[in-house]
Amino acid sequence: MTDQPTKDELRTLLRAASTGDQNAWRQIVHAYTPRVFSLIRSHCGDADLSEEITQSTFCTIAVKIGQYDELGKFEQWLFRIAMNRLRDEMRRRKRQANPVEHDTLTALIGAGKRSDNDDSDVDPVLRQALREAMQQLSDADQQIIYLRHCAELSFKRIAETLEQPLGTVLARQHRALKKLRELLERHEQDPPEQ
Amino acid sequence: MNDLHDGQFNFEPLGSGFDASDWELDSLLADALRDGFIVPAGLPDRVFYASASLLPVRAIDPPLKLVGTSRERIVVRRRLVSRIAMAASVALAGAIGLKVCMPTAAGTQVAASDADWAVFEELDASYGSVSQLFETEGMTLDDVTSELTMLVRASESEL
Repeated sequence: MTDQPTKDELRTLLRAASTGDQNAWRQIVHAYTPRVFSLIRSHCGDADLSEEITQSTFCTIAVKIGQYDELGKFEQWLFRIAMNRLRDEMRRRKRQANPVEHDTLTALIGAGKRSDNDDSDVDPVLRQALREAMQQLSDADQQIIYLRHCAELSFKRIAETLEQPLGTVLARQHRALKKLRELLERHEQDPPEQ
Repeated sequence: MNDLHDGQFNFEPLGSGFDASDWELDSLLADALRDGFIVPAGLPDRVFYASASLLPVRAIDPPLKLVGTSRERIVVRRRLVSRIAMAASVALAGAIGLKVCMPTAAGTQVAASDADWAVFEELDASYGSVSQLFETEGMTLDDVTSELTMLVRASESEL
C-alpha cells in the first residue's frame, strides 16, 4: 500500500495545506490518489474517466480545504466527494447515452474491468465469475464492497461515508457475501457456455 | 511514495457475525479486486499539478520594515521579540491548560495582565494565529526562546 500518514501526521498536513502549503498538499495527494482512483475504477471500469473523476475530486478538496474543520473525518469527506462525482457523471452519461441491451452493457463492463495484473493469484475464470456476480448486487451493496476493498475503509468509516448506521453497513456486507456465494455456486453448477 | 499500489491490503478483518465461509469469500474478493489497484504512472503528480493552484493563498506574515536609527530599530525588535515570546508562552500555557503566564527577564513567570492579553490579541489579529504558527513550524517554547535570544544578541551586536 502507498505510505499512509498517521492520524497526527494527517492532521498536521491538512492544517498546513489549508494555509496553502503545497508540499503538504503534495503528500496528501500522493497518499490518497491510489485509493480514490481504485475506488472509482472498480465502480466504472473506465481508466480515463476514473482519472478525470480523481482529479476533479482533489480539485474540490483543494478549493474547500480552507474551510475544512478537521475532526478526524477527512477520509469520509474525500470518498464521499469522489462517489458523488462518479454518481453525477454516470447520471450525465446515462442521460446522453442511447438505450443499450442489458447483455451488451454487461459485456462492456466486463471488458472495461479486464485484468491489469496478470500476476493475480486468482483463477481468471473465478475472477470473471466473481465480477459478473458483483454486477448482480445492488449498487448500495457493491458500494460497500468497493469502499472496503478498494478504498480500504473500515466499516465504521464506510458507515460515516455513506451516512448510514454501522449495523446497516454490516448487514449489507453480510447479505452481499451471501448473495455472491449463491451466485458463485450457481456458476459452478451451471457454467456459462464459452 | 510509489505510483503503483503494491497490492497490500489494509482493510479491517471481518468481525463477529461473519463465519469462515464469509472470511474465505472476503479474502477472495480482495484478491480478485486487487488488479483495480494498478494506478497509472504519474497520476498523483498530475492530480497535484491540477489542484495545487486551487489551494487557499498561503498566509504570509506581513513584512516588517524597520526604519530609524539602529538603536531605534533594536528597541522595536526587542519589543517584537518580547511580544512573540509572550504569545508563545500564552499559547503553550493555554494548550496545556495552565494559568496564563508570561516569562520575565529574570526568568520567573507572572500571571498575564489584561494589558498582556490585549497585546496578545493585537498580535493574533495581525499575524493570524500565532499559536498555530508555532504548532505548524513544530517549534516548542524552548526553540522559540532560543531563536529569540539569538535575535536579541544579533541586534545588540549591531550597536
